[in-house]
Amino acid sequence: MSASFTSLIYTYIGFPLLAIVVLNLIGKKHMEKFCAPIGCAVGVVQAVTSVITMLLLLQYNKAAVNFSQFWDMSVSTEAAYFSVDAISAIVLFCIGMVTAASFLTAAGMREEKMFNYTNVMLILVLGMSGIALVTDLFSLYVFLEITGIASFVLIALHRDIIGLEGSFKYLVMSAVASAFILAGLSFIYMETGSLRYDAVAEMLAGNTAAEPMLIWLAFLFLIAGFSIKSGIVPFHGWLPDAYQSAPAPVSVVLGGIVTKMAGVYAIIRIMSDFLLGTYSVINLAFMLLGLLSIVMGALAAIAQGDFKRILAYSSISQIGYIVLGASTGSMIGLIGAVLHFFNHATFKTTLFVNSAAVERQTGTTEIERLGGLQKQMPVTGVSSVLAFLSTAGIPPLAGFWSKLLIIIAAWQAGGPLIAGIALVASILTAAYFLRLQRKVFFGPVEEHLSTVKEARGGIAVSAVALSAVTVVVGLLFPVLLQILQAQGLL
Amino acid sequence: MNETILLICLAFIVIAAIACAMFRSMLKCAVSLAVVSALLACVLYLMGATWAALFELSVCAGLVTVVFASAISLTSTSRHQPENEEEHRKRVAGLPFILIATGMMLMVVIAATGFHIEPQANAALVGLSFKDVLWNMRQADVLGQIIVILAGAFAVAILFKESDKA
Amino acid sequence: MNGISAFLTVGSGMNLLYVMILLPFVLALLCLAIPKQSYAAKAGVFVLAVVANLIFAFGVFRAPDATMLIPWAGFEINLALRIYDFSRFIVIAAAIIVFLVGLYSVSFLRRKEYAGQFFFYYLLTLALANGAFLANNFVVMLFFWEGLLVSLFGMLVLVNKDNVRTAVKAIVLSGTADLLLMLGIAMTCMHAGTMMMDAVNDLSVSGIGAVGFLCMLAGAIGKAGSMPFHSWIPDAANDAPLPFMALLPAALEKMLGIYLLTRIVLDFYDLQPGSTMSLVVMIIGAVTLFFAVSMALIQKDMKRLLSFHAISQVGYMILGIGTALPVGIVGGLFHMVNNALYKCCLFLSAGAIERATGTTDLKRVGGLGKMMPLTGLCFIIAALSIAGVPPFNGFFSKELVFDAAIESHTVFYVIAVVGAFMTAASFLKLGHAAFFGPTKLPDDVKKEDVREAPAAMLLPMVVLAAACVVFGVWNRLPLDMIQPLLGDTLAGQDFAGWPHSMTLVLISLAVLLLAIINHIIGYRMTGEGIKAVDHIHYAPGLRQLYHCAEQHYFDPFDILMVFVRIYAWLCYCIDRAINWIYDVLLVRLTSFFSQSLKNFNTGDVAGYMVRSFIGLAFLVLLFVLLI
Repeated sequence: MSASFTSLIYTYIGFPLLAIVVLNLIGKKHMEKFCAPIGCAVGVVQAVTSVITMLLLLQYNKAAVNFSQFWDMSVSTEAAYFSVDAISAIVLFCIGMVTAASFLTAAGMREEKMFNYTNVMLILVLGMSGIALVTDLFSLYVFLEITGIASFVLIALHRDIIGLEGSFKYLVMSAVASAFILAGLSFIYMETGSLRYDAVAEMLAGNTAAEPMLIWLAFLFLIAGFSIKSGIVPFHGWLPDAYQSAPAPVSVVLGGIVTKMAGVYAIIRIMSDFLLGTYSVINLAFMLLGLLSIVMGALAAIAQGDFKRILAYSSISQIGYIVLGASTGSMIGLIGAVLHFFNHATFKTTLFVNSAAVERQTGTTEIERLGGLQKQMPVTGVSSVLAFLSTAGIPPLAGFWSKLLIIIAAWQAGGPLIAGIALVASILTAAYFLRLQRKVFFGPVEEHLSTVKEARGGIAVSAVALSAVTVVVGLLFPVLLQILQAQGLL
Repeated sequence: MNETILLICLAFIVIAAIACAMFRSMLKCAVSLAVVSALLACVLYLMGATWAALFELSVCAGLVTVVFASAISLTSTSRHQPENEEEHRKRVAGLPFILIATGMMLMVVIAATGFHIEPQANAALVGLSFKDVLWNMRQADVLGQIIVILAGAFAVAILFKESDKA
Repeated sequence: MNGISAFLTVGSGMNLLYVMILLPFVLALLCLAIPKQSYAAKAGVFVLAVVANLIFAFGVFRAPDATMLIPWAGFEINLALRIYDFSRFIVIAAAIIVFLVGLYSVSFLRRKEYAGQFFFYYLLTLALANGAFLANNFVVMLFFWEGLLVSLFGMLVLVNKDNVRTAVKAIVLSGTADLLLMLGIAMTCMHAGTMMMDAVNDLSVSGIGAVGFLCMLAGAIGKAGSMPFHSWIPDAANDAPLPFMALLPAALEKMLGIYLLTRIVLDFYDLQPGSTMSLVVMIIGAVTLFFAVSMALIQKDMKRLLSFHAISQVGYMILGIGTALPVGIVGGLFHMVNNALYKCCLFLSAGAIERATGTTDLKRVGGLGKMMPLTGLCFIIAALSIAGVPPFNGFFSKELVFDAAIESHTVFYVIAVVGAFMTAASFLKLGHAAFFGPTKLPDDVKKEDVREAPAAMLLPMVVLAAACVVFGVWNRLPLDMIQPLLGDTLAGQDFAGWPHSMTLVLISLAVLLLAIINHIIGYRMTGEGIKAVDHIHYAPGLRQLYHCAEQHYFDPFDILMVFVRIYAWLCYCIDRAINWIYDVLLVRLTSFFSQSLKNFNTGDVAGYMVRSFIGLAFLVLLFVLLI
């Protein structure tokens, strides 16, 4: 079992690396037209592998599988290694899914710089997979930086003013975040002498810190740093600009997964590995930040005039839900957070793919210039409605279940007020999405749009596939919950 | 000796950081940021964190500056205009606040750490060679380092190489 | 006849009770189903129904005591019916009245467009009333009782389909009473721990019992048309077909209401003479009889005048029963029977006049006695009865009520006597104006056209008038049926025959004499029969009061409606306010916040950074405060 596992896990890192090597050895001239299929294949393989990993974990009833890349890890107990557990597997599945969708969208958009895009995307996949796999805070930071750099390049891929500006803003804020995170890590290192998750967890659980003040300070910086990376209010300023200015396939991957991997995943890790079952000011801080994000993101989304910008603010709001779930410190909240992570990756990717389709077919994403596209673009319209219903948490779609878990957990941890606010914000979600749907898809057709046709190829395929995931997962959710319960996780 | 150098380095880091905040020219900002990163790498090296120093130097001082510079070079041409009196006044007026903020942060850091600047020997690392540490204990970071360099290469290739053609 | 009744009692036994309820209902549906053109068929079915009902009622009358029970809705709600003295007596009384008024209606409603529907509602009313009389379970009784609201509403909208104001008024007032009844029954059942009516005995009138008693009382007197549930009746007199007035407000509703009131006082609750609750009931009765008869005194329209008397007479019954003395209860029930007879007769003769002249306005008719002698005779007999002239039936029942009133408190007796004076005065006026004096007819009616009513209409009137005489002269006949109802309470007393107290009789006679003198004085003063009581009407002080009453200032419905309107306005305001919060305030707040948040995001990195540091500062604050 161990052998099959380890070889399986090598694909997370090995396959994208192999793809990069192959692409660049053969060269741009020959490989340009194979870029999209290769990228797609990387994404699909990643997703399939993660599903198999998950099944094996369930089969052998193991919490996690550790592995070292190429060398012996028995030299020292301090050695950093990779590890896959249930949360990682789910997150890796999201990465694979969104990557595939992004490549499909790029193919559908007839991306000019396909070769460059593919290379940087593969590095981005490596960075994100690394984040999911590492078990050491410093390694986490390294892979965060990889993800960041790849994202900067991708946003500025076309080297137009808007893209560069968005990239620059992301870069600046990321630098600040990196400084915060590094500062936080250094304080923790001062206390424990190690940044491995288990070591830190042991130190926190045993309350063995010589200077508790230092630990609080460390978490203060970590919270601020990861909040910037995730785009939590009030650290969110860069996020809408970056999403809006990125090319369509890039905004798919940015909105779908990147910011969540760079920030929210780290927060989930901190809560699950270090602080599960405790309740401290850290939980409270995340809870307040989460609520602020939920409400502010939703409110700001209502007034936006650009399809992608609405989606960006919606992301802020939904990230708030994930953080709220994680902040409760209870198992149910954590599961809710991870599942909402997954659902958000699904439906937000769908919506960004839809925005790409609209952009491709009409040349704009400004909702005032759009209208009545439902008839001409039925696939886009319907998948968008499904995704929006899932976002708003309408049963039986997937988003309902995860939001339900989060709100239950919030009620248990923070009382009815917090749960109530989270619930009411769902109405705001419905409000801004209804506005979006009405302006873009419903109503009479704008005159200059009367010749618009449905987007074909990759975009439509990914929209349909992602919608199918939303619906199927929603319908099968009770089964999923039963499995989790059987595993003693719920 | 080491302590003196450390203190000088730290002082310069603060000065460079403030300068970074005050410069109007983006390019100067980027350069001073690179200086901060480089000095930080020195400090890390002096304190015994060699791999961290390496990483800091390559990623922050190197790559981030490159990306900064590229972004600036590609955007600044279109939006360069002289600074008027009021903007200048505003910028200078910001200085005290930045100084106060820096001072406060330094105080917090000093208060929290007790300002132990002498290198601390990590018990777990005693008796391990540089090779052991790098190849066997931090291989995830090594892998990361490789990918970072790859990313940097692509960034340069994409953002600079083709601009020459264009 | 003997054969038939033998068959009914022996052959079908308890099935009779179902037939009493189901047969009128089925025939009612049949009436509705028969096409409009064939009036004869409709009328045939209708007559068949009332005749059959009469025969079956005789069957019930002769059947032995029995109870029956069919499980129905669970929770102790069973279709329980019961034959015993009271239901036997009341069912036969109702059947006779229904038969007579029905016979009259067939002739009265000929060529009326709404006849078919009227028959339907008429039979429906009959079915429901029979059900209510026979029910032995509170919920079942309530079911039939509430069902009567449907037929009441239906009959009231028949004529004026466009103006349903009266119907709405009736349904609001009766509905309120029924609602209170429902509450009362709920509390009574809770109090007694059962829903079977024969199992509820002599509950104490205190605590929840007092509330339950009052609520049930409201239901009973509301159905009987007492104050304050009365004000739809005079309006209905103008709007509804006349047989409706003769059937429901004059007879059947009184029977239902008084039946329930008697059950409450006799069976369900232990009402002691002189207790507070007894006083409450008596006050209701006294107030009703006094004010209604005061209003009746000044009416210039026959139907309206009679409708006020329909209210005031129920006051006597409530007063009598409210005393909780055997003599009062017997008097009240006797008065109920008598009232059904003479009030029906009066309404029917008014109907005959309306049919002949097209109006019942006393200012436009006069001297009809010569043209319609039989109608006039019936009217006079009924009027003498209601005025309490010996030896007609009204005299005897009123004497019993007077007896009970003076035994309770002199005040009630005085009010009752004053009521009797005004009753006599108003009927002197009515009779004088309508049947005596110079002939007077509406302009569009020729003298030759005014003829005596047809036999089908005359027959019920004559029968009723005859019954008035018989029940007066031979009052042992009804009293022998009524007195056993009281059971042990009666304690061997017998009220049949000539009234026991000679003093009271003399006072009554004196009052009648006074009424005649008053009439003569009034007639002398104005020279017209119709204005014989104007000196009372326009007396200083009274004049203003009467004016206000005529303007509906004292109408409980209108007062209620003012509150309803205020309440509705408040609700409207609250609704608007809530709507405003949702439709305007929330939207504005949301868009305000959204817009400000949108404007906040300027694209300025420095600004983003500053905000991030502010966020950090708040986190620091949070940590400092809470660690």
